[in-house]
Amino acid sequence: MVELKSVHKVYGKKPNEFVALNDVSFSIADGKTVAIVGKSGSGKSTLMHIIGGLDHPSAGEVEINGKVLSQLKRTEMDKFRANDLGFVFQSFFIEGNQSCYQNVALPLEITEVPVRNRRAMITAALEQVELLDKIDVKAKNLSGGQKQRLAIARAIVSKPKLIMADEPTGNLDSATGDKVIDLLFELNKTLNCTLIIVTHDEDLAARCSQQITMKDGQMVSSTEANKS
Amino acid sequence: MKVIDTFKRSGRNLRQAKTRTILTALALAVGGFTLTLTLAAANGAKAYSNRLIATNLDSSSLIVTKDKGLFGQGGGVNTKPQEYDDSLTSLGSRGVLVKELNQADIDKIAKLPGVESVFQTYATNAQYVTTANSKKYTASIQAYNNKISHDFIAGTVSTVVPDGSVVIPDSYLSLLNLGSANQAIGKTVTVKTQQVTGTTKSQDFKIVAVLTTPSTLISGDVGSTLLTSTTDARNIYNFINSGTINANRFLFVSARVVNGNNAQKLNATKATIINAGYAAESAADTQAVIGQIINVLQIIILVFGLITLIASFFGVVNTQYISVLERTREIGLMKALGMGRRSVLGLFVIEATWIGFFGALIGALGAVIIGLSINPWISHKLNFGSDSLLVFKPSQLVGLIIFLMIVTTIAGLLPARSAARLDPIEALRTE
Ligand SMILES: Nc1ncnc2c1ncn2[C@@H]1O[C@H](COP(=O)(O)OP(=O)(O)OP(=O)(O)O)[C@@H](O)[C@H]1O
Ligand SMILES: [Mg+2]
Repeated sequence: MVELKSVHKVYGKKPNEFVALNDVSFSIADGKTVAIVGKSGSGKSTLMHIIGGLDHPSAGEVEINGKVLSQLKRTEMDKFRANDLGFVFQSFFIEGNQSCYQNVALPLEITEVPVRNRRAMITAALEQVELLDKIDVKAKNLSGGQKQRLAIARAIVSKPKLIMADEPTGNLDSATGDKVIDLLFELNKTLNCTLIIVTHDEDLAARCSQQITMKDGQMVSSTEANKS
Repeated sequence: MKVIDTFKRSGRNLRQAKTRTILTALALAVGGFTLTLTLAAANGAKAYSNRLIATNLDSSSLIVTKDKGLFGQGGGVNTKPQEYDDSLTSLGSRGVLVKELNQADIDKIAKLPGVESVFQTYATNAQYVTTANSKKYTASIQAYNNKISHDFIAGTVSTVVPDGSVVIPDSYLSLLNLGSANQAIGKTVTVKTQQVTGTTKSQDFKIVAVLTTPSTLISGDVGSTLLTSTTDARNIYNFINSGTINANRFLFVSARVVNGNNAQKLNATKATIINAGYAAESAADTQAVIGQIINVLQIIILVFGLITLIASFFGVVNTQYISVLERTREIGLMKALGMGRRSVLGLFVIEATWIGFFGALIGALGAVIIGLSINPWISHKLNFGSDSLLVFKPSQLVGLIIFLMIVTTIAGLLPARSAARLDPIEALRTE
């Protein structure tokens, strides 16, 4: 369960302050697929960072699975991000000089998964994004779409309860994009994880069970499809 | 994050920034190199001075003179007009006057509490030494002192040299056509001595032992000194000096102290002798003077080593700051994925420690390799004899490497701290 209670986010100081999020409240039930849509600059990434505990709301509260994020200590917050969240960032953030294996290994190193268990988990994740043949290739040598899929493999490798993807298909052709989306929906079913996707893609948004529309930092609508 | 993963990750990072890593390590290696050589030279100098003392001075005896100036005390050797004293003798050619000890002094010293006996070397210069089939060579004569360590290469002496026998340094072997050291044993050398009046005397001595020319600086020409029994040395001394002011007068005598190996006893006796109006110095005093010179030199080089180390320290700080800047995105990612501050800190600190390890290893190994290869040459040039100038001790090398690792670890702390405190959002925003 993800719950936002009148979240505000203000950037900058008084005369130049900019309200990126203005009184955003909604809740997402476990196992749902959610699309956050809206124009560029409407606050989608900001919203996602706040849900993921990377950024702190200027006012309001975020509660995830009963934990109020603002009340967590820094180490608890780190643990929460490492164990419960999977991030796919808008601009990948993969480590180009390291191999695909090492990129996907990072979350496992952070959560201190025993070394002997790692290879199986990493191969499984790479297999799901169809990158197994690139396991020892340096990430900088991958194509744009492959990088995006690598970022997804890294987000799913530790089987998090909540996956957040910021425009996961933004750099992909429609065929590859569809594959990635299929993959994410499949994970939602098999792992029963909640999926939050930021997207401009109408079709993708339509496939999700819940759509949250942002405009100038405000949530203009939150519609739930009748099907689950 | 597990320690092993931290190590692997930092190792990978260093390998990716190979050039930078190597250059920083090299900067550090300069400090390590200097410090290693300094330590080695100090070891060598200490070993050398110890041997120098052991082969020239008896640590359980005191050297006694009548003139404090000879030890550099009381304002140096007298150079101003002073009241006449019949113990005054001119020393050297510059008319410097020093007080000498006579037989009455020696008897008095011998009776002082704590003094076991008074030993005199009766050092004099013979006219020459020769054999039947060689040229004539200069030589000085001294009584053999069994309290000083001698490096025999052939034959040996049990406490005293028998009358009519002699111990020669190996420098005479080829000059006097004596063959090898072992062949020389039992052969005879002839010593010619001359009085001021011109009367000469020849005396034959049988070689009982051969010494390596000791690594000496203290008693000057030990390389040309023949060691005889005390009786023989005294007879020669008296023969040469008879009728001169030097007869039965001595610049130095050596006072053997009862239980003189005990520093307390030695110092108590030294005080007694000084109270009796003489000047006295122990081997330890002489060693302290030499040791002080060595220490001063060592401190000077050490300071230079530390200055290069300070430069390398800031080099490491700088490199690590650049590394943190370069990897802002990577740090942001790791933190966004839930890596704690301590792990990020550890990652960067360990990188600095690695640099310290490599730098110190390069510096220390370089110093050892270069040191060992120039050691024979430089030790020869400095007339170190059988000693070497540079003595490397493994424990010191390990200690130095650990020290440098600690230094770079400290240098890495500040940049690592700024990495650990990076805000992941800010970091991820940097393109
Ligand atoms: N640190 C910041 N300081 C000032 N303004 C900021 C900061 N971060 C974001 N903003 C502003 O907040 C607004 C929302 O940004 P956000 O990145 O959430 O947009 P977005 O909806 O994700 O857009 P896009 O679809 O282009 O990714 C933008 O107008 C942006 O300029
Ligand atoms: Mg965005």
